[in-house]
Amino acid sequence: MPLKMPDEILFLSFFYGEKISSYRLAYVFTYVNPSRRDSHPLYVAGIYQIEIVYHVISSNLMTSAFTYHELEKIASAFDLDVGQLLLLETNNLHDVVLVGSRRTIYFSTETSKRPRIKSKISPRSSGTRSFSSILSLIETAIFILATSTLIRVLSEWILLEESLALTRNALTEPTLYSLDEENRRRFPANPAYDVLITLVNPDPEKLKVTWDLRTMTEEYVEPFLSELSILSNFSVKSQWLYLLPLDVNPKRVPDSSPLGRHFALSEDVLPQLITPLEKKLASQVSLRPTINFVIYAVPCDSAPLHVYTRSGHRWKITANVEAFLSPRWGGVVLINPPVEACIAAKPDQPVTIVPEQTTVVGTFLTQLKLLLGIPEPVFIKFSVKFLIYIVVLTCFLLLLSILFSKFLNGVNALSLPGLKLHDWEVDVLLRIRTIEQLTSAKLTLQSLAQLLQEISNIVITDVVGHRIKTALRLVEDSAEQLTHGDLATGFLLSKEAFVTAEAAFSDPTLFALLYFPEDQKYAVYTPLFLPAMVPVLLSLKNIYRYYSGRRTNNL
Amino acid sequence: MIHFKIPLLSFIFITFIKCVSPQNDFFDEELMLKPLPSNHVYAYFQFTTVWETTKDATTFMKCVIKYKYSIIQHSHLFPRGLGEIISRHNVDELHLTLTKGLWHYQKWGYPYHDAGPGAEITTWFHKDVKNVDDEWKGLTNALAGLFCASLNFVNPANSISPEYTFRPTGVVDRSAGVVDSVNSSHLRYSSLPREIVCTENLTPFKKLLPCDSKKGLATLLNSAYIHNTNYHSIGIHFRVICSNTICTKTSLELRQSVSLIYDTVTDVSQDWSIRKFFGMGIRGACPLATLSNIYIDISSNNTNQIYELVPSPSAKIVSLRGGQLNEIAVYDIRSHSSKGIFNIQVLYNTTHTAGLNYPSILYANRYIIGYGQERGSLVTKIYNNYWQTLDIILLESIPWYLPRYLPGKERKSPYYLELILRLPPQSVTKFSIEMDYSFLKWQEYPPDANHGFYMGPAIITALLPIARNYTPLPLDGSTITSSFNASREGYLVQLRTESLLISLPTPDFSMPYNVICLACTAVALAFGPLHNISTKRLVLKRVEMDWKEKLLSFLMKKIVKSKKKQE
Repeated sequence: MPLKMPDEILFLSFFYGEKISSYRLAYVFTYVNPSRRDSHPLYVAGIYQIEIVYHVISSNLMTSAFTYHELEKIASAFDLDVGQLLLLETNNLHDVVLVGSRRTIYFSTETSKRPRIKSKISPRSSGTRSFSSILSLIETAIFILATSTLIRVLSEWILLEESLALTRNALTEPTLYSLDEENRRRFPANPAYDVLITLVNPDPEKLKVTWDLRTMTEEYVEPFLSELSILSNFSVKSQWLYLLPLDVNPKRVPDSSPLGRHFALSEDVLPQLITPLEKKLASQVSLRPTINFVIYAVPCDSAPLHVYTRSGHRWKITANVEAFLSPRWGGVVLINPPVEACIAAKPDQPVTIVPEQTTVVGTFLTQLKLLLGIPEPVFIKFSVKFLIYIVVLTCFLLLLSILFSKFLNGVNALSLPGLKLHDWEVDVLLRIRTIEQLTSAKLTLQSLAQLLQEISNIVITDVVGHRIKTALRLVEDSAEQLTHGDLATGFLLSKEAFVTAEAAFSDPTLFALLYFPEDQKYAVYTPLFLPAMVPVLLSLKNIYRYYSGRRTNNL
Repeated sequence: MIHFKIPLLSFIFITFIKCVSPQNDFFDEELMLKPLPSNHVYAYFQFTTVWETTKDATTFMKCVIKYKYSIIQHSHLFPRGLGEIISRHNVDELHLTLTKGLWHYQKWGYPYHDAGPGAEITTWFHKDVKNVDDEWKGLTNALAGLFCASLNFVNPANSISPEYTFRPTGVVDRSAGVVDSVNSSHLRYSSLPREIVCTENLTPFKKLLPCDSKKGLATLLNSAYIHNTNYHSIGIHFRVICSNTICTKTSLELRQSVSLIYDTVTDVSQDWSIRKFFGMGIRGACPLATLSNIYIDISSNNTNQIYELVPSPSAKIVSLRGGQLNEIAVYDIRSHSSKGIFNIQVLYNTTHTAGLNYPSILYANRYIIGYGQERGSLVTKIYNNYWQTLDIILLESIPWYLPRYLPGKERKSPYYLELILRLPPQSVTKFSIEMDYSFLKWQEYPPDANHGFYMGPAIITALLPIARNYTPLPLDGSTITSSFNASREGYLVQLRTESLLISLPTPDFSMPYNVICLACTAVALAFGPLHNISTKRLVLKRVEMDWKEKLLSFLMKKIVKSKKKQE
């Protein structure tokens, strides 16, 4: 049952169709006769236009697949393009819904099995009848629960319609809509980014950090970013900075550790850590936004350093590494030296820190995903009502608890080795970026038009004019491609449109010398008109006197 | 005329091998203090960063662009800001100096780095660069941002590519079959003599150092002290050098230099110390530096100037170089600063005496003669004090607004002349060029046009046979230590003459507005009577009043002005 989703972003002719609840969407999956092969467009809301294509595959094939690997193998038989999604019904699933690594969602049979209450009722004894009716009731409950889970996975992990709509609205009307957390965190759309990894060693006399940043970027960061090469160009740089101490004084807190103390850094002062670094992070040649990652090695005399929340609790720590993220700026990782090394340290010899590469890189890549706008999958909870319902039922029928074991697992996403990106995650990001870029390009062109209306002196050269036309055409082309469900092409066109529109708007020829200020015109003309106006005004007085005199004469 | 060319140095290597850290780069900081016979003290700081690249020279040369991008993107001690600019614009070699004051070659000898007044920049771009002018523009703009200097005013109209004066000092890619692959079309030189050098240039300069100005010798660079000197010059010198003798490996070398001339004549006592010059003692070495030394040239401490050094140096080196014998006192900062801040004092035992000055064998002067604002003459005088002939290259560059019949184009490129001369022994050579002063377009005048136009210095390049008063490092050396006992066949100098201020005919910029005002007033004055004549008629009207009525009406007029029309 593959679901084809032309990620329609009706851009020029906004389509606000009647919002069919996503609940009904699932019924469409289940109730539509599988033998009907024709495509069935479904309008969910303003942004998406979903086309569903049904396929029937051999049930033997599905029952033979037990492991995720086998499932993935079956799914790979479907040739899925960027932006498409396959919903695959399977029997042997430990979870209700499993989101695969590629563009597949596996859902268990319960989700699709329509409870046939009536057919189950057979002329038997009343005891059996009541049992079967309870059974069917449970089946209904499971069905509703399972379908709602699938719908929520679709809408909260994959489609993210509300988020997309907010992104668009916040760009067009920033005064009316405030950005959500994700929007504030992720970098604005740009065709290229710099990723700068900075290792700060504040006291090289006492602390030695052994790490090959170049190998680290080549082995971990660059392969990760190469998966996003369709999105933007990334260039990874690294540098070492020395003698840059923290600008804040962490509070010394006595504790029971071997060192007898740790240092507390309040969450409120974290922004102040970034400020002194800023002057060493700027680039003189690159115009691209920089995603900063700072590794701050804590020297022994102020170690271990821990971050405390506003409420006074310590952050959860893993392996001497504390990390925080600054929206639209980057991430910071604090590396504490091992306690044993600090105890054994001699005053004239530096302590060596060998950072745990995987932990630090893992933190960075997680932060990078968030900064780029790949949303964190929301943990899907079941509504309390259903849970109570189920709990009550399970109390009665312990036998059936096996059935519910799946619900304890709930939704699962297949985790990938080496923090690789899921294909559907990239698709999500592509959708977000497409809508951002298209809206932004449109707004840029609009403001340029507005500017030209207000200041008529601006000269549009042929180059700029051509850019404006191209940008407009690209916006239209992109929207057209999106209507046809070609997300990849649509995205690339929108990127080009965005870049072209920006280039047209920020062309230096717009600010040419042709601008002649109004006040200078007055400065030139006043010496002529002011003295010449004096006799004219005086004669006006005479005219007035002449007419008023005549009026009195007439009277 | 004899064809004379500085031999192409394609095999340059570091003479001493250092222990290589896992990062493959090292940093050295050095300070040379040299008392001059004229009772000045020459203080020369040099911060050297050498970054050994892992790739061997052949592949490096083949894919220099790709290589530089991949290497420079991951910097350790090498400043990332500068590294990015260098790799972005495919720079093979870069020399940038920001100078205030004029170096007196006659009195002070030859400096470590020759630098003309104001800003001066010389760049060799990689030979694969297609559009050199574009890269040049981008490079100077980026450097302007990095050093807060007006290098963005460098444009093709004040840049030249002389053929003989400048040669690459680093590794040069020798293409197969081509003996001299150096092509001056990839060289750009420009001088901005008007640039004023101050604190805002020093701060970004210090920021490029791995220890910033927090540790090491850079703590001595306090702008209040170093900008009070008779001459100060900061420089950035980047090149590619060989890291081994057969040059299979290359390194990137960055030398950051500060040259200062302190005056000890004006003081009552001749004594000087680090604290007196820089306002503070030395707190300690930069922990990242491999070499952290102070040298004091104590050669003059023998005849009539006797002084003693407090504290006594760690070591003394005798350097014999090209017939010049120098005695150098070496202080290792690490060992001296272990007890805390330390200061080096030079205490004279004798009274105020002038040292013996052995004048430099080659120096030059330049000045303008003529009167009026129509034409003048540019005179360059070159002095040869040596007993033999000297071969020199004279580079005269003249801005485009002083038209001469030399290669160059108005508003496009300056005029320049390179002459290869053989100076007779013990002679003064005078070279003069007549110039016209031209009118510029009104937009081409700078603010305060009556101040005049600066003209960059002439450059005289020579290979001196002896090293008298000669300090520069040998081409194969990176640190000051490499200049000790470094006798070579010739000693390269590139003298800069004075920069000149020329007053071009300058229009009165307020004239158009004055004309507008005057013309408008005249029109208005003419318009008033014309208007009156055409709209008013003169009518005779008799007013009959006796003297009492006249007096009354006069008083009434005075008191009640609003009721004027009572008649």
